[in-house]
Amino acid sequence: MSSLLLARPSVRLPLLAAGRRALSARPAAPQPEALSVFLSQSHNVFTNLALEDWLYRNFRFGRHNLLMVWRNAPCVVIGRHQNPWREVDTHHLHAAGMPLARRNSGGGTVYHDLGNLNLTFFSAREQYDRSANLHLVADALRQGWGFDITVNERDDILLDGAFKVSGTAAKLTRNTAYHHLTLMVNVDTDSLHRSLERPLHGLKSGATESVPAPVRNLADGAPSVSMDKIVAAIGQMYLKQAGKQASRGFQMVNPSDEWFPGLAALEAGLADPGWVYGKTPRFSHTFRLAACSNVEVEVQVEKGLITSVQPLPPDNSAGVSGTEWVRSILPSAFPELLASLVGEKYCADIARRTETLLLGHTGSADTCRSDRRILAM
Amino acid sequence: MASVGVRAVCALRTFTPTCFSRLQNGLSRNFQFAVQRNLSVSHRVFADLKYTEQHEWVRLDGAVGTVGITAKAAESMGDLVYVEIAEPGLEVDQGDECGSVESVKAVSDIYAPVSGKITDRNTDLSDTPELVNQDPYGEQGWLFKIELSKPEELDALMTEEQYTAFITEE
Repeated sequence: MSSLLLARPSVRLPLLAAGRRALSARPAAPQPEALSVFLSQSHNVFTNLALEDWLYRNFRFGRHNLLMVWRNAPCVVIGRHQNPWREVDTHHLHAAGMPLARRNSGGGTVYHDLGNLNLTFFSAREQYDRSANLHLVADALRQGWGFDITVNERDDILLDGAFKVSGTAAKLTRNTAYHHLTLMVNVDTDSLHRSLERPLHGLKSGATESVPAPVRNLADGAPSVSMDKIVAAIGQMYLKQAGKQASRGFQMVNPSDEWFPGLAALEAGLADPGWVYGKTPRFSHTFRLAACSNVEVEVQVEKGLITSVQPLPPDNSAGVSGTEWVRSILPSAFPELLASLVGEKYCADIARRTETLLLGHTGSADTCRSDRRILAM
Repeated sequence: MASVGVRAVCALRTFTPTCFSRLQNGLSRNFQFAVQRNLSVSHRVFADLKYTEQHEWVRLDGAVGTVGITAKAAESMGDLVYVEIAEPGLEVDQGDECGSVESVKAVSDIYAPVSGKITDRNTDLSDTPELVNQDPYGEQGWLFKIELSKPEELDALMTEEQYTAFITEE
């Protein structure tokens, strides 16, 4: 055994200075010597996501760990590998001027507004302990307000055993781990339900799907709840963890490129439609066109761009191609025009565009009812 | 070459994966790089796999290495719901991020265990990412193939025994 220990330094990759990849919470993981709570002063979702990104890339956690507290103006955030057109009503978001962002961690789609609190727990990889963080939040809420709070097997925080008040996601890299969660304090639930409506059907892909759940606000029926008090309660519970001498207190943080060099570039990357829409896993969308004798059309999309538009003949049509089928039922249609959609950006009203092209109505076909490029407010 | 020896010895027996691997264990001490492998074996960890501290393995076949994550990593992540690997053609250095895997629990980055050019990735995983959990070392659950630019980097990676010691120390 000792010879193996001697041999180990030579197998350590030069890039790895410290820390091993933690596979589970271990009591032996070193405790941090200092803890801070950062309160972001920005309400811009791209800025805050960029700040989260910046911190995990540039900070070496382990001895000094961090809780980042942030809130965003109304927006929707999807998980790393999700399909925005399947998860949200993109037209509504555009009409309401609400940005759509894609985060780096996994998980499902969430609606944010100023009544929603975001908490990000940063630590070294071997200190990553999702369950401990969730229980910390649950304890703070129970002790402060006596809420009936539980943590379920999906790592959701439930109020009264049934209502989801929090969703959780995490990202693990070589040396660092971050775990973030949302907390519904006083969210506009009408806006939430409207934004998370799914108007499109017939989308098939391997993208991760959200699991809808009934939600509730902590403030419902608890008038003494306010955002400031919740932040104070959770922050103090966090800072107390490693003993009094470890607390470095609360710190207001202004996420600017001056204080965080490189932040602006990270923010631009997150706001880029090539990231928000272009990172969508390959999918197909199949729909019927009522105005074209109910012909079925399948659109394939890769990286947010249309790669094929094919009419589908019905199952019993014995070797007839889609185009031939369309010509047979709609002699005046222009199925060959469908090829012009290839290479275009996919958007939610693809059915209308396809129909317009097929019927030969030019002019309005090539402009999507703009549900893209929704950048920071 | 070693492959001839293997075939000769097994000529009188049914050529089974177990037979092959037992001989392989004996031969691999002397031969740094893996013998041409003709069988796909999915349920045994071979002595000629090399491991990184990020719980990835590399299996060399000529100049091309196949890379995946270990059973321990797959088990700790839980069922994978999405796998993303960089496109073939990308040149990477040892330790560069070249993809990510997502499970219900977290998104975890995948790093290149050696420097080189990515030549192939397992496209089955885009529809069925759980293949990684079912067959992490084999024909179904591998992540990508890489043409090594610095084969000597393999020397510094962990052998099976070193990796086993590494994970049991935790």
